[in-house]
Amino acid sequence: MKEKKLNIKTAKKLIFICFSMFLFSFALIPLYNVICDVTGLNGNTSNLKEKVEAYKENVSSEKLNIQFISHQSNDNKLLFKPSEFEMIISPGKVYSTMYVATNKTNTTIVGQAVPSVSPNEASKYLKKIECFCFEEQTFKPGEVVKLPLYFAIDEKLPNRIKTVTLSYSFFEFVNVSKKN
Amino acid sequence: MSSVVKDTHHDEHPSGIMRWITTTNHKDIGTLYLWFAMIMFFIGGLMALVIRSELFQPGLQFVDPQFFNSMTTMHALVMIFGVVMPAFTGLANWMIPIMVGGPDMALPRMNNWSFWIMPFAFSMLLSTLWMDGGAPAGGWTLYPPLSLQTGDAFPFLIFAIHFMGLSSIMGAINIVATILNMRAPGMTLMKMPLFVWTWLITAFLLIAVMPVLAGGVTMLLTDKYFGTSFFNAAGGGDPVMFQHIFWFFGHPEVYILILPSFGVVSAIIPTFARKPLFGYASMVYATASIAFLSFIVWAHHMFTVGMPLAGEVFFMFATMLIAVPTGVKVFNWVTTMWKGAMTFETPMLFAIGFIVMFTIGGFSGLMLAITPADFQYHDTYFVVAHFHYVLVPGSIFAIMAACYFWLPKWTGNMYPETLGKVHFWLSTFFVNLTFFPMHFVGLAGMPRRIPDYSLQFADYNMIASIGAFGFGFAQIIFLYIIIKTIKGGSKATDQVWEGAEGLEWTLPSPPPYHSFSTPPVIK
Repeated sequence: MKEKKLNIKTAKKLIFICFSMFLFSFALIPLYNVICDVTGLNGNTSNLKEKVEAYKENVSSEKLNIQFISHQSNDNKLLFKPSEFEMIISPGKVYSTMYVATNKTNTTIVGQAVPSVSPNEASKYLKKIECFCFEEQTFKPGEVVKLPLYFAIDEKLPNRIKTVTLSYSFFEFVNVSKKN
Repeated sequence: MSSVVKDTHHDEHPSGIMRWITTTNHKDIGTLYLWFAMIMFFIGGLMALVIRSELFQPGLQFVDPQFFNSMTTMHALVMIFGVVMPAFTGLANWMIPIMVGGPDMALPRMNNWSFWIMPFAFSMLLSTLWMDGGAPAGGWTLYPPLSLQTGDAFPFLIFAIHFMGLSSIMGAINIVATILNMRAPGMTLMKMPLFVWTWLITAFLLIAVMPVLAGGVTMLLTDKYFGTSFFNAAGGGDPVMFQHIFWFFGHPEVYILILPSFGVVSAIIPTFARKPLFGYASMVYATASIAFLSFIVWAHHMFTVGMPLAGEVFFMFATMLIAVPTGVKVFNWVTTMWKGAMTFETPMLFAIGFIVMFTIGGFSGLMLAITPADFQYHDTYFVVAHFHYVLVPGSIFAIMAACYFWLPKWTGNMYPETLGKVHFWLSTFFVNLTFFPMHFVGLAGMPRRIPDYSLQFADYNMIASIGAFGFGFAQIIFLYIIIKTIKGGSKATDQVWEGAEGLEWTLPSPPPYHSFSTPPVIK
């Protein structure tokens, strides 16, 4: 019976490893986000407001091409696109532009736009002073809404980056019970 | 040195169906696992033939695209979780207690449970074929958001995976406990047969990664039904995160599917070359390093998701590093055969076929590891050719080799040798006919998991389909041989093969229901 006890002891240890690995799979989620935030990988930009004051000086003489694109779900309920697709800017200066959303349905759409920056490396240098992506948006039936965006590109942006693409994907909040 | 207890009251067991349902005997459970794998092999094979029929000619002929996608998904799930893994677990159940000189598995009741979960898991999975919205069709990798569009089948799929995972984890715990605690006195770790070593390492891989898969699919389930946003960008999640979790499981998983075959081949080659295995210790270390490396290469499955350059370079070199211990293994097998007194019985043929064709798969794996080249190969038939080369003439051939090698021991009867050789040559011919042309269509740009294709791929696809049907029908010979051998045949000796060494060959053929109740003496 000594052997049986030993076997159960070994099994318990192995079950413990199993549970830790199960928990580890969930720990991967925050871990992944931390890594992406720290390194700016994955085009994640911070969703925090920046102070305007920081961008009154140190304007770079370099010119930078910034492109705006939008993604929307393929159900075509909301027409969501940038008012201008491209701007030539100087890093370090604050600019404003806007996206325009048109609710093409006769129901209210609630959702939020999620930003992403390409190349990944530039995401750390994009500073948003005011962005519609900070909060959820409500679009009444047929409504046309202008969504303002105030931003600056940090003048420390590496010289080799000549074009930065800023993408917004609009996601509707869907009631889970309604979805199925 | 035979210290077998015969004809004791322990040999009594319920007869009929109850024997199999209530059994805690490692040999019975091994047999159950192997038969289960055999049944699933034909079900999964049938799905493959649906795929190959549709791809016989360009255009849509037999099935609608949604069902075609279900077939690719289900074929993969059945073959991986229903054939290769249970077959190896069956071999482990049968052979490991005997090989280490133990009386049975360490935890016999759990052993019974870990097998009997499997039929339920697969009934659940296969029942989805008749459900509203069809069976899962988003690929066995279950990437969201596509996999979240699965209909009623979705929870069945997830819980089936939970059950399969539970079964493999329990099996693995049992195997580790058996190997660590049940060895006969004198059977030190470095005296264990390589099959035992490779399974010990595989079992640790299973224990480490199956819970991660369970976690990942649980997150999919809550994303779909409970409003969480682990992988939903709208709620701040990230679908790429799933790919990281999945492949953190998935890459060690491919070694779970291949490491036990290394053990099988390492048992067969020395037997028929009549020489001891070359470089035993290096084989053990090579297996361990492959297992370790398998944890740090997962992102080579995701080179095209937009990783930073540093990541791509790291995963490329780490992946290529695996070729070193694998090369050590292939070198040792070839060196074992070098100047050996070789004979070519069916198990040896399968083992040599394994070495040659697994190496072809290994080389195409190296090509896929090259990041810039992978951008061309990604999601093409080249990938399909690669992993079928390592899984069919790799894992499956090793399982067949093991069946021929130990079948005389299990049943006490010799299998029909000529028929075995016919089975080998037909399988080898057709497996190459099926999968070799896939390299070419893949390099030419044919995407995988698509029911139709561009006209220039027509000839090679027709050849591949003919090969697939040939391979499928050749397996009926295998089934016939097994049944025939169980029913009778010329009697096998205890040692069975002239060059066979190891504890299993000291037992009578077939071995008694309970073996090594008194530990054998290890030289």
